[in-house]
Amino acid sequence: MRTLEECRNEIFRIGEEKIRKRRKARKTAVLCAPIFVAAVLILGVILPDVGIEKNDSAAAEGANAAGVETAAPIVCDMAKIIETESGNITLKEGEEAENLHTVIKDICGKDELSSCDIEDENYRIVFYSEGREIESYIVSGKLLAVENSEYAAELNKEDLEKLKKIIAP
Amino acid sequence: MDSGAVSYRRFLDGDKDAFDDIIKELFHNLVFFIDRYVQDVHASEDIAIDTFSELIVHKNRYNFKVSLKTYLFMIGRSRALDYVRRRRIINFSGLSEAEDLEDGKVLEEEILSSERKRILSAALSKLPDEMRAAIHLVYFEDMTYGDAAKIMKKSRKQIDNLLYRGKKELRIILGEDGELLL
Repeated sequence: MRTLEECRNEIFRIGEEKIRKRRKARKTAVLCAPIFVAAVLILGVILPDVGIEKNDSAAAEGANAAGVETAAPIVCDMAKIIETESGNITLKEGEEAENLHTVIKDICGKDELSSCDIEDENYRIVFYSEGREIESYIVSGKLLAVENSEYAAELNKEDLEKLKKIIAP
Repeated sequence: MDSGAVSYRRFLDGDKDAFDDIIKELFHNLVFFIDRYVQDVHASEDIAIDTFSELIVHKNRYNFKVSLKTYLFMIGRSRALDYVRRRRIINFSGLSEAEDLEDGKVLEEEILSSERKRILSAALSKLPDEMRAAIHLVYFEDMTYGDAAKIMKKSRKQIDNLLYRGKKELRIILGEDGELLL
């Protein structure tokens, strides 16, 4: 057994050690508090916003998977063919603007559009949906250009025939 | 205010020697009380040291409403119970039993001045923990039922019952001679 003097020294040693530990823990808490607050802010404010976006896209995907109708694609209901040279160009009888729109989209989608300069403009095709202009193309010789861009697709024989079927000179 | 509390007040006011007075007055009694639960003098001594260190670490925790002895015994009891609980999980490899017994006797002689108390103390070891602690506090530490109840976190009635049943058990253990001791 220890003497009272030894016990006294041990009591003070343990006491001071405990006080040191408490001070250290308090210091750590003070240092960690800003990090904790920042983490809470990130988790509570920033991530939920990202989560909402994710949820929206996930919900749309889910709706598609479930066969729920999403917003319908814009349907072209009118096309104006503006003649720039001689000749009168219109849609053939019985043809609809949407058919021409589809054909032109096919042509543009089939080829990789290459950059080009349109010098001579034969005619311009402008598509409308509910009175609002949605797209416009320029036909120049064997080129079909997307207006207000530098891209154009080359019209091959097949493409020209498809156009001829819809457009009446 | 009891003498322990007066000394502690002096210690809080900056008199370091006052703590020595508290140690002299209460340390061995606390070790002896803790040993009633722990049954290992060396472990009891460590627990008592840890209990006393609380007076240094948490200087404002003691509110001077109970005696310092009661306060220390309350902490000591809870630490002792923690130790006993832990010991059930971990097997401690302590000192040899003979050495432990020797130290136990030294402590007993220091605390228990009369032969009567020594005989009673030996018989106490055969009683259950709570009964042993209640008898120890009232008969060996001369505490009131109220203080013993506070330390053991029981009501005065429960302490009364523990003492009644404890005395009954002791009479059986000590036989006819025991009648005279109680």
